Amino acid sequence: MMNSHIGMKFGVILVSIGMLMSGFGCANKRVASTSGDQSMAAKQSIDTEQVQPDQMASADTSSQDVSRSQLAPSASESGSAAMSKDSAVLPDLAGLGDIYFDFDRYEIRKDAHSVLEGNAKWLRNEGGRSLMIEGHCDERGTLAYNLVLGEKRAKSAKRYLEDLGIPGSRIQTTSYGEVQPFCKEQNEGCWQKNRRAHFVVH
Amino acid sequence: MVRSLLWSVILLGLVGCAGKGERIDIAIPGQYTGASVTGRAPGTLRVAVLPFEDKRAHQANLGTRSHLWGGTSVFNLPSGNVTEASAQALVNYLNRQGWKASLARAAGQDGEDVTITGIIQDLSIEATSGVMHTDLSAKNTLMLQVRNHSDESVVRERVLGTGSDQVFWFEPEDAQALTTELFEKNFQKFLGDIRVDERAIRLR
Repeated sequence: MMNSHIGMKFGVILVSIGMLMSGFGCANKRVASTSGDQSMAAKQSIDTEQVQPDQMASADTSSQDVSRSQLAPSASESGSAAMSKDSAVLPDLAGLGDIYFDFDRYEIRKDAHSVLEGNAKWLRNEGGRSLMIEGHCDERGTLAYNLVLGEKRAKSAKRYLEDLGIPGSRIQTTSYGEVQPFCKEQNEGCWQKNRRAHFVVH
Repeated sequence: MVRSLLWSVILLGLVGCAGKGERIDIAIPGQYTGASVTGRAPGTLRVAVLPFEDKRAHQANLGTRSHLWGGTSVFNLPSGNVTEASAQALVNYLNRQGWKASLARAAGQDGEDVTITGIIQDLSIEATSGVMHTDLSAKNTLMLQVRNHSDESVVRERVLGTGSDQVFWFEPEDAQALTTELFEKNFQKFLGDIRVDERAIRLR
């Protein structure tokens, strides 16, 4: 009787150790890859400019907007490679909606027109407010490339708002490239949410 | 009976923590576990991969495992030939993604469209054992260069991978998995940054 009681206790200890071992084994793994110096050169000009992405990787992320819109297109809307072009995008808490872009593009899509018109209307009503447009990209492409692409997306949005009568002096642009993804999965539905211009009111 | 079992567990623990000075084999290429064919395969583009150059600061081994009660073991390839093994790792990854890649000895031998060469700038794994845990960290930095034979243009990119893990009970498989995953992530990043333009590879 005594022996079986001790045996049971020992079994519980062994089971606990086993659970601890398995718990440690899967909790802390982190693996990441990024790309650095990159160049593309024709035959006669091998010595091309080397991109230094480390500077861009350290882009300031401290000013992250706490009221960031959670209204990115849902995965079901964008499960296929081409996201539905007429997906509705609702305005965020400040009355401003994000707009989304096709892969590797910075042209304003048709489904973004109504969003930008809504944003312009909000800005007209809020005469004294200025705006920061953040350009974002999905993770495909290098840090350097995506930083430039994000900037182009932000500037496209700015130009569109200027065409709608918003003074350029009220609009600033910046790019976060791929470093502030809205969604971190590796699929088209998620990447689509990350290819965006986000509007932050000052 | 119970007491002897208990002693066995304690002894096993001590053996696991003591330095044995042995070589822990790391297979390169390892067995990739990630998804295959995530993007569009490049059709009939033929890729030759030459053995990489080894430019690591420390080339004697892949790293060390520091045991809790002192002593170290070393991580290394069974063959010791890291240059060919790393190139083969890229070949395996490309083929898994639907490419037509093979390991070659010299550029332009078999009429391939592009030749990829690589420089291993960093490839290491370190494991440090503490009480009831072992911390693992790994690095893999590769400079990959693609030469397009159609126009002799060159594409270069450096991919940098870092990984860490913490395990309760260290097994060589933990180091193996981390190393393999780093190669996989680096190659995944590389493929994500390039595109195939007819018979050539360009940056996106």
